[in-house]
Amino acid sequence: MDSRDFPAQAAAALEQPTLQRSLAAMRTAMPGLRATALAGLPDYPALRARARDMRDASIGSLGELLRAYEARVIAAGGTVHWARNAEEACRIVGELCDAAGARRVIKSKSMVTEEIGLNDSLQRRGLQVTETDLGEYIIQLRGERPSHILAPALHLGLADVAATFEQHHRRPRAEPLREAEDMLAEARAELRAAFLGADVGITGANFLVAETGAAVIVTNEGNADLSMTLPATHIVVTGIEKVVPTLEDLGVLLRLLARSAIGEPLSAYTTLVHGPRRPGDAAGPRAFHVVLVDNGRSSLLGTTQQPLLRCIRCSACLNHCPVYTSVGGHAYGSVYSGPIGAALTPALTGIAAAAHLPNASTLCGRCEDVCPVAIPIPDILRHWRSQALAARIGTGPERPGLRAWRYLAAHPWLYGRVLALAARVLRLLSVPAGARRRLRGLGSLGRGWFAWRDLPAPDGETFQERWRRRRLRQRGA
Amino acid sequence: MTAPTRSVALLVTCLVDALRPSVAEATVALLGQAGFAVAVPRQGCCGQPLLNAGDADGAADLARRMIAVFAGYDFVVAPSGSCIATLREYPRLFAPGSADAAAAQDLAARAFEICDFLDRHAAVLENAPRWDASVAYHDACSGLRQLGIRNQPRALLSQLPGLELRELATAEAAECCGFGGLFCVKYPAVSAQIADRKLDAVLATGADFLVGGDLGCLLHLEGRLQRRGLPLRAVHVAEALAGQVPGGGQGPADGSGRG
Amino acid sequence: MSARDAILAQLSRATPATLRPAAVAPAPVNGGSAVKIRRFAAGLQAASATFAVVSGPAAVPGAIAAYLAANSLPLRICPGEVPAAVDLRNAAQLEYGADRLPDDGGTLVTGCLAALAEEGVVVLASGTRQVAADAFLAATHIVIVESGQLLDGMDDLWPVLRQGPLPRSLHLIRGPSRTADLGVPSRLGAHGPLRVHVILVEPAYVECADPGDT
Repeated sequence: MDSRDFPAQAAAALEQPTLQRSLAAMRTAMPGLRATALAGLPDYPALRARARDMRDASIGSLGELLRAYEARVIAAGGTVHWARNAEEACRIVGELCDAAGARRVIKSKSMVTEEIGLNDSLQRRGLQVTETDLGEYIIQLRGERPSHILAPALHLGLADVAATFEQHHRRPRAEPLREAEDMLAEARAELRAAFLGADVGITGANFLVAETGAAVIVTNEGNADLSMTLPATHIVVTGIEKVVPTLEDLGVLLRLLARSAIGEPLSAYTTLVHGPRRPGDAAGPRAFHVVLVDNGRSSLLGTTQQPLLRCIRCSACLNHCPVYTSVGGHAYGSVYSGPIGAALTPALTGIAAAAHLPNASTLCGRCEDVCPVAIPIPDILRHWRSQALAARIGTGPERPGLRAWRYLAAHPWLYGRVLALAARVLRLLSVPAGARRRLRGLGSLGRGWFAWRDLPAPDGETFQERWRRRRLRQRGA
Repeated sequence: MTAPTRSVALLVTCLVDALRPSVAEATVALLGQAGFAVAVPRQGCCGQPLLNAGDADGAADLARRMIAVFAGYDFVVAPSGSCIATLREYPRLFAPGSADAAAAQDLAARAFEICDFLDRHAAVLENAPRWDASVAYHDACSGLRQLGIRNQPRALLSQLPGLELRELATAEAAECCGFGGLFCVKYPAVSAQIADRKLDAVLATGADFLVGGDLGCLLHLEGRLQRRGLPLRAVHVAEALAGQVPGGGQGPADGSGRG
Repeated sequence: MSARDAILAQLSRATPATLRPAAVAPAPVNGGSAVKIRRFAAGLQAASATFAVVSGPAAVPGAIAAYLAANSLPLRICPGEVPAAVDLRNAAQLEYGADRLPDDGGTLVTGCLAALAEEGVVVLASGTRQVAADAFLAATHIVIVESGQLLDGMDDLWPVLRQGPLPRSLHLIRGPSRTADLGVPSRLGAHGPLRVHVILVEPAYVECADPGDT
């Protein structure tokens, strides 16, 4: 999967029945759940404005906040590591695992670790890595990528899961797996063993709190809590933009996150963790590390794309996007999909590899509307389109066409003549169709339009022609 | 003493100009009925395609031309939410504080989509035509989200005697129709699937007509309807309000929709 | 130059921002005790947790036994740290198990640090107050909330945290472990507890109606 192949991947996704069923369910259910949950807040618009401003203020003083956060973690007995890029981050985590003498690693779902390709890197070191989020576990067994930020196995149906488990779980079975409860019980048993036998637990962090040094991790399954409590070493891998100043600021984002994401006040588990086990603690890791990953984030600072760093990965923009809910995440060919993925991926990979993503949007604006931190995603998509245009990276034949059109549109008389000619020719080529006439095709021209639609036929002259002729006649009369 | 007649310049919009002039005729009629003096200065394009393609320089060039074309009129009105939304974006194309930015701001403040404009200045239709039909209204995205146009067309349409408004199911009502300008030709399969969702939702209401305020969406949806061989018709809200739906079976104003 | 220094140098390029003064986070609804309890109960129930109110700590063992019996669970419990006034060790109705959970998960009973009405969550802290690891290994988790611990919402929790040393970890729990990865509806018991039952202890002298009726 590659972002360069978006059109073919999208067309294929439209033909996948399981994926289409999941997307249809999401499209019809999620907007209502989200709206109801937000309506339960005393004043959502004010909270959203507060969240946006607080994120901007935090991003404006990231250095200061990260230093404060780091000092708190060190005081609590933890260690903070800084990684400029994916390779550096993977190396740091690998070396920490080696130093812990680890063989088995458990992971809680984390988009940053997807972004840096951590699993591959650790496996190349000979470590056994087990994803513990159920969806992530299933796609790990299948060797696939997540197709949604929060629901990584959205593209799969129960039959796919059953087949995957039957292939990978070596257990005696009287009859084939059919019921979801049985699959869950099987996964729970497999993963419980993995939790208890792991040497290192790796989690992401939804937020970091500078005031207390907390890493905040949100799940519905409780797998992050087990991952960070049972193994002797806990490693948090997260992006540098996740830090907020105070607990109250954290509260603002927590009140928005799950409501925007799944239409609930909070996820089942929201955990703040402050470091390794202390004297008197009944549980917890002996060693605690945080790896702060830049990987292109700081290059957004001071640019028009800086608001991307506000993102709290709630996935509301995916759930409300007409394109994402038509083709799913894999079609994007990138780690982050949907509107936020289309806006973020060019910053992470460069525009050349990702030019389709900002173009594959209707700019309908619903993503910005539902974003709890008001990221102007359509504006950012337009920015990437301009970058692609300037770099002459075509996603279609638009470049010469646009230049010619720009010239015409700037010369109203000529433009009017061309529109009039087009109206006339299209009228001549049209055929009757009920109350109106239509065009069914123009040979090799306009294939993008005519592949899936007719064109209702024009009247044959432009309004401006008609209007001016009428005015001349009135003056003559 | 009557107030001086205020002037409205029509922003025809390229699609209406070339592909459905009847929408502009209807808009002129509505503005005339509302007591405005309508002018149609010779004009090119507002630059929306350039803006969305990422050609900000090109868009700024066209914006300067449009600012000049529409100087001196009290209002600029278009039968399109997306073209008006583009005019409202003009100030952002110029350096803050510049003369261009000020002129753009001035134009943006005078620019209105037709339903929004009527709602503000002539909320009660003169000569509301009779239309014995059920219609579903499609909220085009630019109008809905950038201009806040949702109730205005419904309030106007509800004045047509005989007309019954049918709402789309909630999930589909707020969704884009899949047009998206160049999007619809660059990613036609995806665009068509989104259109089909919208059309199926309209068909589910049992409405006789699909009414909308942006011709881009309407051509895309009607083109898809034609290809699917469905009899549902897509008409522009200005045509509906002016009683000028071609072959739409509209009757003359009978006064029963007034007051 | 170290990675740390390099990144911190890059961060100075950020566009500074200042909070707009009008932007203040709205507080959760404060409608007094009855409203608070109703919101709390509704939040828990929406997350597939169950909820009961009892009058006075002496009523807790009976409430636990009733819950276990209603769910056809053994009356054997594994107590974590519970409020001092609640005596489970000498409760006739319950069988007092070992400190360690049995392999099949078993039933864990703990107190909590606080509970939040707006979100419908209980807050557990690591350390000596609650046994955090067990809260994710048990099959059934019963949480005792004293009425004074029930706060309006999250913003009331932070000052409570600042009063003492910060616990190593703090867990806001809103119901059983669940997953949406096997389709709709969500399935309970993905990794952690299949059942979460919350018992709110009102002072003994208060006549307490069913929260559903208040």
